[in-house]
Amino acid sequence: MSKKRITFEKALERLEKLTVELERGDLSLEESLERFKEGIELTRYCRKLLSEAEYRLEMVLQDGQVTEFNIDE
Amino acid sequence: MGEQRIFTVTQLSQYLKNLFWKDSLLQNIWVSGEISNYKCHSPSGHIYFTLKDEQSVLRSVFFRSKNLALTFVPGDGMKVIARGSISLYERSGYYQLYVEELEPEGLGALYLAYEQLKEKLAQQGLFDECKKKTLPRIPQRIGLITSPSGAAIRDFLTTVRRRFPCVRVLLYPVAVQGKDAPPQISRALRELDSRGDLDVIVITRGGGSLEELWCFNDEEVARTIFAASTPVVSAIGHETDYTIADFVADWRASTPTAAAEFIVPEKQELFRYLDLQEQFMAKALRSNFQKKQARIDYFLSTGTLKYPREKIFYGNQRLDELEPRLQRAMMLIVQAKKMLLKSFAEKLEALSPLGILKRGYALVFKRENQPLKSAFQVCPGEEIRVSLADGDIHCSVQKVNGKEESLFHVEKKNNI
Repeated sequence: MSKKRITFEKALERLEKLTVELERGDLSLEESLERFKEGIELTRYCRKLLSEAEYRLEMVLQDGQVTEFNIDE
Repeated sequence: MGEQRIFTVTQLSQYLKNLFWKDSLLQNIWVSGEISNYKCHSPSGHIYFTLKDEQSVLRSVFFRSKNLALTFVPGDGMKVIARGSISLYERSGYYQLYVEELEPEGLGALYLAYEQLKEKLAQQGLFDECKKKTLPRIPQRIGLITSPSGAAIRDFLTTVRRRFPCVRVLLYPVAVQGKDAPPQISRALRELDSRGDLDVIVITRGGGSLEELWCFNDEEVARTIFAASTPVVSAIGHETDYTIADFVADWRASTPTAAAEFIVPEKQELFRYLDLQEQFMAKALRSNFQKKQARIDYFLSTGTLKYPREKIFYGNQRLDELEPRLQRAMMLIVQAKKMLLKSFAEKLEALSPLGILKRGYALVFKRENQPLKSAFQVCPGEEIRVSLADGDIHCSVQKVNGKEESLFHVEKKNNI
């Protein structure tokens, strides 16, 4: 599925567009079902992104290299 | 040349006052000096003092309406910098400074530089709202320019982790005060911006004195922020501190914590939002189904689709009924047309010469089938043909008996 690559933000935008189209109510049944299906896939995809992504802190060093960094909070 | 004009004192004062008014420098001027003869008049609230240096004095007045904004209490011996306009006080015959703003010197010089830079950059459009970039709703990578020690970084990161622990933060450590700070901040910003993989860059620092925050009033820092293609959020000092960096940034947060709250969404909130979207979609889908169902019900109820078989039977029956009627009608029409045709044919026949012959008349021809119209067209002995309805009789002319009238006619004709 090509949606695997899109960002969370793009997925959310698409999802909102689908909802609006569905709510307008002038779609055929087939079109409604298609959009609904795509929408559900998108919410699943977004949930997955949110659950999988991890917090990471890195720091740019003097020579431009990037390294993991920890700070006592 | 004429006589020298003689002025009254008032006229001269008015003339001098006009000179002051016309001079744009004198209408908005910064003056530094030491306060003496400080007096705060009560109950009016107006402040009167003299600004002086080694050689000169300048009377000054600071009206209540202007001095309400004072952030310090002035006093004799204090070195200050004042902004205002010069005008003439006619009643006492001296010029004085009408103060608009007053700052302690040192601070005042910084403040002046700040004001001037702010105005310059504003005029060049660096603060224009239309130039502000929009921030991403859900950033995935955040660039952070700040000191790796201190409260600001802790406040920011703690809040980010609490709200949205699915983001990568890339710290670019810099000095946030002192001479080295502005070039370091500018460089950090340029480098982070050129990476192209950051959704937003945050420049932050905790509270401090005006001098400590001064690196964020640097022109190069301001221009670097403006030139960045990544959205920049500033969170410098406390809520009441406004640096040039704050004005030029795409978003100004009052504190590091506020910046984090603004930049990242709350994870739980996002999950709730996704649930909500699903509910909306399901509801919309259901209502779309119901709408279509209602339309089907409507069609069924109107009978169009209610008894389709009966409709066909009824149609067939009607067809059976109509067919013989159609045949009958056609026959009648054909008959009528036939009758009409017959009567036309009869009429035609009656008009035809053949018809006349049938009634017993005959046509007479000379040689070469020339029809005879007059008795005088033939002479005795000539051959003629008499044509009857059923055949021809070939005859010889024995005698011609013309009628007088006709004779006359022929003679007359001959005479012509």
